[in-house]
Amino acid sequence: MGKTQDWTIIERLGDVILQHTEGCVFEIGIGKSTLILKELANRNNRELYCFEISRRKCEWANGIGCRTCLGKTRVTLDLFSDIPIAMGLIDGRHDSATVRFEANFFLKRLTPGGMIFLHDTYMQSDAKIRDESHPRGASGEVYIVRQELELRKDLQVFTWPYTAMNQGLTMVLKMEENRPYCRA
Amino acid sequence: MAKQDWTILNQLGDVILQNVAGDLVEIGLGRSTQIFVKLASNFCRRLYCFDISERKCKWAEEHGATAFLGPSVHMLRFISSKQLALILIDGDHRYETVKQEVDFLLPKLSLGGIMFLHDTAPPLRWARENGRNCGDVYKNRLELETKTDLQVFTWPYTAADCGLTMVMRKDPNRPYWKE
Repeated sequence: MGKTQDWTIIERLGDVILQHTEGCVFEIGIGKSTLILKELANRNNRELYCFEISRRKCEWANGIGCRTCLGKTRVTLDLFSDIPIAMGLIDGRHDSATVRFEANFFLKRLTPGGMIFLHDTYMQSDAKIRDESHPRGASGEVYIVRQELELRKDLQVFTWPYTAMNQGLTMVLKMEENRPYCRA
Repeated sequence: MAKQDWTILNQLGDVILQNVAGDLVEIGLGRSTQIFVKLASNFCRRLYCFDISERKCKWAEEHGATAFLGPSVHMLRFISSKQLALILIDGDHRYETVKQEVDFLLPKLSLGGIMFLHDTAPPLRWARENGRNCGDVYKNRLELETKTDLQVFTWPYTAADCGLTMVMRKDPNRPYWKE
């Protein structure tokens, strides 16, 4: 798997986030982004945990030094240690129930100032949102989780309409409690 | 202030300009101006700079920018560009001034373009000291956060840890902003 400019926002911001936040890195859904996250993890002396249902992809990620969890996140996340998280990418199944479960799991463990990226949160057209042929299931429902997260007062949410295949890359930052003026 | 402080602007500037049409505006010149000058040159965009320091304006002119000497609220009307892709507001730190700057510039911001505002979330210990030099720009951020046609996101780190806010207009024609 080669590098791609599609994940350029994560590539550009990853070091900044990790330089200011403690914890490990995670990814749900191994792909081309895994190389970028692994490089970021290496540069900042962090572990990268990958969650994936494909044995072949897990073996590939193991080969570049990632810690992998093979299986559905509903099962594998239960076995995940309660360790602090600095940054992660959620890009596995695309139905809202699964993404909500995954986001809430990691947001509880996210260090203040840390960031979770969600992919496919801002599809370009209704047709793409309804495209059931997507290999990861109901592909257009991630935007629902984005909308839910946008309502939370303890988070900041921002969605990039470009890069990441132009399907929406949402940044979710957990705010510091002792910062004034965070929300009116 | 170290150059590293503007690392987010430095990291995102070319990503924004690769995807968005329009020129650049900076209010309040400083080390960030070096980044703006480089971006404008690399992407062949016009850079409009505003400052009350003649020395800073002269430096910006020497580096290819169109510089305006004087209070921004009087000079902004001289911007000839109808589309702006990247803006940094870091001049006068009073709410009323920043509001006038935002109100003038935001309608010109291209879809996908970013308006950065500095000093929007100073640490608590500084806020207790009347915001030090951060003024009350945080009030502008709070006001922008209430607008449903905008995305507003504030970085708590870098930029001297005083808060660097990004403002982007939502595309009304893209689905699922409307709901």
